[in-house]
Amino acid sequence: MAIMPSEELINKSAVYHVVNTADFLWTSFEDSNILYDPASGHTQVLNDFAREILDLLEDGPKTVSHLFSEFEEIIEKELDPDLKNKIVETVINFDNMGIIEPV
Amino acid sequence: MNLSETNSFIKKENQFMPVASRFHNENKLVKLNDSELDKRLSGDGIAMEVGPFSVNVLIKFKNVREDFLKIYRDFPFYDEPIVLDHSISVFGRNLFRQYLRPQAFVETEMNNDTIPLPAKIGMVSLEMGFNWQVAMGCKQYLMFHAGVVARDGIGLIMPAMSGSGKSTLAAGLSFRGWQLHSDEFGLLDLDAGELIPYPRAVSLKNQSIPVMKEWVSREHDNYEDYFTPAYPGTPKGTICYLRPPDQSIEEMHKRTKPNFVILPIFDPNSEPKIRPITKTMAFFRLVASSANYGDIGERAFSSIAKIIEESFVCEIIYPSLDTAVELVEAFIAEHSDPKKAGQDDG
Repeated sequence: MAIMPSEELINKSAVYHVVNTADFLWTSFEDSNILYDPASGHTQVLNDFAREILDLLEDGPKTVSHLFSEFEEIIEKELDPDLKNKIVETVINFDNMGIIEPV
Repeated sequence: MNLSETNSFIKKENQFMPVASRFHNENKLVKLNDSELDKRLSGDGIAMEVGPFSVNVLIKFKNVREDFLKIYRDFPFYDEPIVLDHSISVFGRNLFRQYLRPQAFVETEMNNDTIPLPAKIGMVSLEMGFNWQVAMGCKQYLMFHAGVVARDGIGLIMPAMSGSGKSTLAAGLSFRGWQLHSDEFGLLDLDAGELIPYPRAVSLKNQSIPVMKEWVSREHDNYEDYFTPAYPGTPKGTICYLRPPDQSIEEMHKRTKPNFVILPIFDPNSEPKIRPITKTMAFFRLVASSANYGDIGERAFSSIAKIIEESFVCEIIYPSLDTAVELVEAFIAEHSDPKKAGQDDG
């Protein structure tokens, strides 16, 4: 069975925003960031990469394509397919966690 | 006498009288003579103080009363009216279950889903009742399924699954100079950030029973006096209860801030070792061990974050109680200045 690239698992035109950004509680240890979402009562651990993506979404609603562009500006080069897949997977995970949702 | 009357949260006579002080209560059960104790425990029950909780205890079976007093004889009781946190009654539900094939049923103020046990192991029912009420009803303190001990300003939390030896380790440390907070329920005051002692019967299972008897006998000639009889045939095998050290009962209200979190792993085939862990791992182990984290929510998250920020953390793997105590004390000695706590990452 062929493995579907992550980009095909997500609606690229969907605009995502962070649901309760002002209510999140954060704590950080070593290289991980721990988030408590009072809306769900769930506690999640984010690495620095995931935290960066959430920060970008907290700045304002974005599509996955917008996230690609912003990341390319940050790292000052074109994203390779692996990195794009990681971004998409992270967005899907955030959606599953309930901390972002399509506008 | 109607049992529901004895279970009232307000002890009768005059519920508008001032509530007795919960601190520095000098009335110990042992000060009552045997017949008075027996009469009160089997009558309306005795309102007593166990850590931060007041609890009315009523026991209809003589053998259970004897075992209960072996553990709790030095605990304070109230003679004045008191607002009760908990209430526990152990009794036979009818004459048949009281006398012919006696069976100890435990009734608390929660939903009572416990299965009655034979009266000869009724002490197990009583302790299950204590655990049930705290596990289900305690929302004012953050609760950890953990052994907790303290000494010289050091508050040590040892979260662990059942079978990891945390009760044995907490008890072992407490008979070597540490204050026993609990072998089972770590309680944290959310406002003060302090660990609250809740010393009760230490529940020893199966192979840990001879281990602790040998351990206590090294310091106490009268070591058998600290143990109840062994109760075989419980759902967890053979259980025996150990009375906390006298000093831990005396210091039942002495609180300590937590500054060490150690995850104990008992492995009889391992070499003893201290293994570093990340603070993130320690954080999630505390979250996972907390029975009321979800109920308390944001304050629970912030409290655990603060504990981990200010604590040294590690995992110990040990093959015996001697090595476990050595590992704990070695790790704490290495980081013994509480002022340094939290400056290193494990």
